Amino acid sequence: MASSSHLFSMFHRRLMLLMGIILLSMAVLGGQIARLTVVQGQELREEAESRLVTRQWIPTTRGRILDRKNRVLAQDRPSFDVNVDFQVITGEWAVRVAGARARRDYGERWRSMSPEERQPILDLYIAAYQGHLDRMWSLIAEIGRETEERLAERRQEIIRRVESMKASIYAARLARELEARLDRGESISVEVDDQTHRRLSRPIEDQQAPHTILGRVPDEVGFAFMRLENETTDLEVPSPNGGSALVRVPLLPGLTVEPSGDRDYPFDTVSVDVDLSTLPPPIRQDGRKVITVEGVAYHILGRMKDRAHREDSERRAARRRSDPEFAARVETPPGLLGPSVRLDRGQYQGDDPAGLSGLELAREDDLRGLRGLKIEQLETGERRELPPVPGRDVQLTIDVALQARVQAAMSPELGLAVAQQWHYADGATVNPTTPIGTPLNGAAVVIEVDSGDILAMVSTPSIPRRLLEQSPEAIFADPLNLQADMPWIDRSIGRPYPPGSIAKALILSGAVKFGRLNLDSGIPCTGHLFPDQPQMYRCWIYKQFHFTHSDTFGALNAEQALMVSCNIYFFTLGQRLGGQGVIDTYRMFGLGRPLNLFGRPDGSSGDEFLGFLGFAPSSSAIPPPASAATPGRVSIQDAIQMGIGQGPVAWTPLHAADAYATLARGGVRIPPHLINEPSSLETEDLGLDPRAVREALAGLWASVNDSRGTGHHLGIEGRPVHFNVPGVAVWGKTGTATAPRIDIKATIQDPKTGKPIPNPLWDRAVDRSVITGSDGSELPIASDSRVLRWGDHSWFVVLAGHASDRRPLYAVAVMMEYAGSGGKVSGPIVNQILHALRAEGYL
Amino acid sequence: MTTASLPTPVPPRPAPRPYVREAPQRWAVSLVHAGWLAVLAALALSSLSIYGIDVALHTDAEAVAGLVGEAVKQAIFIGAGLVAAAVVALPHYRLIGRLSWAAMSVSIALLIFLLMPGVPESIVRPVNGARAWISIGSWFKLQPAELAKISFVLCTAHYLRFRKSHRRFFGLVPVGLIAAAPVGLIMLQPDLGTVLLFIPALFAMLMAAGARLRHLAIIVAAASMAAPAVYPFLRPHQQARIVALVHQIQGDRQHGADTVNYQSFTAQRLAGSGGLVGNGDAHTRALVRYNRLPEAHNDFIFSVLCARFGLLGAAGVLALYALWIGSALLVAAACKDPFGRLVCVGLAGFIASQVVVNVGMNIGLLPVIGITLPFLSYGGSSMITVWAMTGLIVNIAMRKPLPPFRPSFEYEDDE
Repeated sequence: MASSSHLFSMFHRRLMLLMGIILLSMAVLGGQIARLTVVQGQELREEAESRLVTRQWIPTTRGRILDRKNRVLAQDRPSFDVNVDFQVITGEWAVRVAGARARRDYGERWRSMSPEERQPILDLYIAAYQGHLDRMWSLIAEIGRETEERLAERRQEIIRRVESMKASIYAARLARELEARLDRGESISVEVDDQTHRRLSRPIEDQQAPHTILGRVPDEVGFAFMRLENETTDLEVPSPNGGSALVRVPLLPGLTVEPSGDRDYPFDTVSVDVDLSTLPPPIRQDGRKVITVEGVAYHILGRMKDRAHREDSERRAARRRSDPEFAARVETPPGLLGPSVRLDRGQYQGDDPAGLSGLELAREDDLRGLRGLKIEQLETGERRELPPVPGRDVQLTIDVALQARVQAAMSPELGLAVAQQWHYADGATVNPTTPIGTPLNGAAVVIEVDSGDILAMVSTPSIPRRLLEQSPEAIFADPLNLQADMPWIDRSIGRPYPPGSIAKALILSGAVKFGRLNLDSGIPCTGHLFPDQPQMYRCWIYKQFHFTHSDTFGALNAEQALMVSCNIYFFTLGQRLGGQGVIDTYRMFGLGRPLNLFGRPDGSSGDEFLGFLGFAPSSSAIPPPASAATPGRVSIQDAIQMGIGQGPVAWTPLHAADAYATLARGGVRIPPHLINEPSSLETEDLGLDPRAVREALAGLWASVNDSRGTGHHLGIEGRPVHFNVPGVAVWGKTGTATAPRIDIKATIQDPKTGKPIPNPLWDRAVDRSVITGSDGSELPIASDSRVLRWGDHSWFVVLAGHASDRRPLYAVAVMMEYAGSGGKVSGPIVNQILHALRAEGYL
Repeated sequence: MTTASLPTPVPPRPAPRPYVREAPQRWAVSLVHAGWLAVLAALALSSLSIYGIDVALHTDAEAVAGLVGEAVKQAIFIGAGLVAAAVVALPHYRLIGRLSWAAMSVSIALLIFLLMPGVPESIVRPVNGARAWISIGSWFKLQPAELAKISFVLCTAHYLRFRKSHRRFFGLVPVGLIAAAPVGLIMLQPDLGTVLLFIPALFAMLMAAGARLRHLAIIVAAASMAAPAVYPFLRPHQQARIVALVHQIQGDRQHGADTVNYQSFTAQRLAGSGGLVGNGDAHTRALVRYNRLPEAHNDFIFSVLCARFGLLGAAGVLALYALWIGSALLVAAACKDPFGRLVCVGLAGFIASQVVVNVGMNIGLLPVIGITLPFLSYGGSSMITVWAMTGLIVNIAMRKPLPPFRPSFEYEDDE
């Protein structure tokens, strides 16, 4: 009997309990359905609908790089790559397609067979499809004019590469997995269970992507493949009744032809003809000589890597997230692929190349084109096409013809940029680290005064692209390149050099601006700055000839001081300016101020060297120099040195040319630029005293045009003048700056194996006993080291214009590393650059 | 000190309960009963099934007019199901009860036949490695496990109908043994999914028959604690599905998206695409086709219906199942006969668990195991079975014993 305390009997209560459980379960189901349809409904619908659309990318081209006269410096080479799907390369395709075919042919029977029964049948099918692939490779070899062996090697190479990439990706995934487990507090072991293993070894992108089997084929080969790309053929396959059947298969499965995306640099090699009669007398000849320069503007243009790396994709994705304007430009238009599906049309895929250095890297996002898209709506059959957008062109302010001529002037072949006997004063000893005949490295920058345009920016040695393609190890594994020459460094903007005496014109302007110099009063040259210390802060003329400039001029005025480059005068100005005054002067002229010459989207300066000013705070005995962007400590002793461009200050040839151009504009600084597009950097009036600028220019004029000036003539027999371009007015200043020594050890690391090997340059380096300080004392060199480079950097900076109106139009800065005298080495090179400006119609 | 040991008094054993034969009983036949609700739900679901299968398979609306072949066959199966229902509804269910052990013997014989070596493939052909079907003629395949479901309900109900032994813990053992034979044979096929349905059905019947809930709870608790120990013995693909499910529930939409979770993700995507009210006819067909939902007309037909009719449609389908189950339980409630009561509960338990498991795997709550959705999935055996179940409900509903009758499963001392 039912209990009287309950309205319902136990059986009925149990029924209600059961119904309750069932309704509860259904409520859970309903909740999940509501989550899928309502909460995630929009997202899932888009995902589902995206499958109704097939997409096919249409290739695009990379933008060009042009010079200021619209000459093409870099462009896509019109050639094609023949690509084949990885699964076809490995032969997996045959196995997969054969399996699918067998399953279809045998239908229900297939499912009931055991693996042992299936295998022999499968083998027959696979053989048929494998045969088709074999014929395909023969055909590709024939059309592609390649041997089948080479093709087979190429396939093996691709498989090896993908396998090794897969292994490294597996390792990375495993590391992430273990890290995640550790984060979750789980115990980890090196053993990986099957599940995890399967997940970690899921296919990588490269296993599903096409790979280039024939690269850079000419048009006719590319077109021949294109015609066959979508062809089909009949293939005889086994059939379940024991006979055979014909099936349609692609003639060349998985084969696609795409533009190779190879870069062509038409002005990489340029032949320049030079008038030998304009050279200094020791190498002067009648007639002309054709100099062929290679790697023209290499440092500016940069180069490409064969295929983009993950960092490239990540960098691009990050920019897409952070820069809405960029995202809007590169993404597919809203609504094209569903309401919220926006794909990056410039995303890196397969064998896409990417910029590796220079402008090709800095302007990658602009140069890279946007793919087109063919879209087919499977439900309606509707087709739409989004045309590809070629990459944007980038135009430089560089004149590539001038650039080539400047590089020719700096080519050792011409004889100026190579250590010569006539670079030394009579009786002077030759620098033992650069014996006669040693090629000299350096940099030159030409800036147009009125606009701030950089017309030429050369760094030697450059890297010939021909060599880069043929034997890159000849560049990157060469011991001399690794230890001294470093051709990959752009010396015009990327390496610190002490300014030396060329800074004197700037110090003069700064001293007047900051009220430390009355131009009406003179400063005597006393030979050494401190009367009781004749070994310190000496004038160069006192050091060499033991007399003083005041012996000739009495107390020097500013013009005379610049003309003869009197150290005492500028030590005094440095002393008067003090640490802060010197820093302010250098910074005013551009030191430490980022230019972003290449127009990087993130605004960074990349490889540009911002300059050094002062010493960084440090506990070590020799404190490191501080970046000029945030100058460090400058003692009064340092300030005195920096008055003549020595001490803790370093800049680049670009800084020098820029500073002189500013001086030429009367103190108006136009930040120099390399790319012909509006810049965010603004023109600035430094507020220099006009009379100081006039005096400085007068001093620079006298330095070059007065026979007593340091930049007037070559100090050899006959005293030939430096500058011999008819009708050209030149203002200028020499500089000879003490350079940091390059010491080497007896062993180096092998660039390939990383093991120590004997240093191949050991015999070419100089023992410390050969090197002496300026006072004849032995230099502090570690006993196990030798000296590879030592001496002075040679500077010459000029302003040049027409003699008729005596207005400076161009600023030219030349710096030659470890070359010695500024006037003797860099002077003739500047003269050749002025000839080049004349030849190109600028002067 | 010695004392004479007195014999310990032995409590008198309760007299064994005599096997009670069914007393002669007078019956009335009523045509007004809750069983019709189950018929109504079954008819609605079956009709929907024809359309659902057409949408799932006949994806290219323009190519062929009319219904796709499977939909037509399904309509024929429904007809056969109606006949089966009528056949099952007509004889008195007590008669059917007396035949239950015979039916079980036939089921077991057929299940053994499936496993016999040497049976030609024209009769028993393994599908995906499972020997579950007997081919009869060219286009009908009998699935003995379906027959076993009904026999199992009948036998268990028949066994429990006058007993009290299952109210003791060890009294549950013989009931378990009844289940053991068909469950063991089906597991050998192997068809783990179907096996899993027997357990909730058995539990439902035991609950209704008055088994103590704490006993059942102990079994459930013990089973859940033992479950992890079984994991190492599962086959790799079964393990993979469980791991995949865990990832899924954690919200990881990447794990196994192309492999083990492919089916589940595709089904969820399609289900979700329906939104609140669903997609149009043609659009749904295109979505099903190009999303490549496997077994769209079979295991995953619920996703297709979600895509077509959205959340509201899905709720409607669940409501129809609730109606069928509710109807069976109402019939049980109204029924005075213990055998009839337990049959209704057992059938409701089977249908409910099958719906929950199938829908659960369609929407990513449960691992993908091959279980069909009653009335909606394509298939003859399944359709005939569920209609036969419906016939049984009607059978029990329309026969009412006239007083006096014995009370059944009425216990005072339950928790």
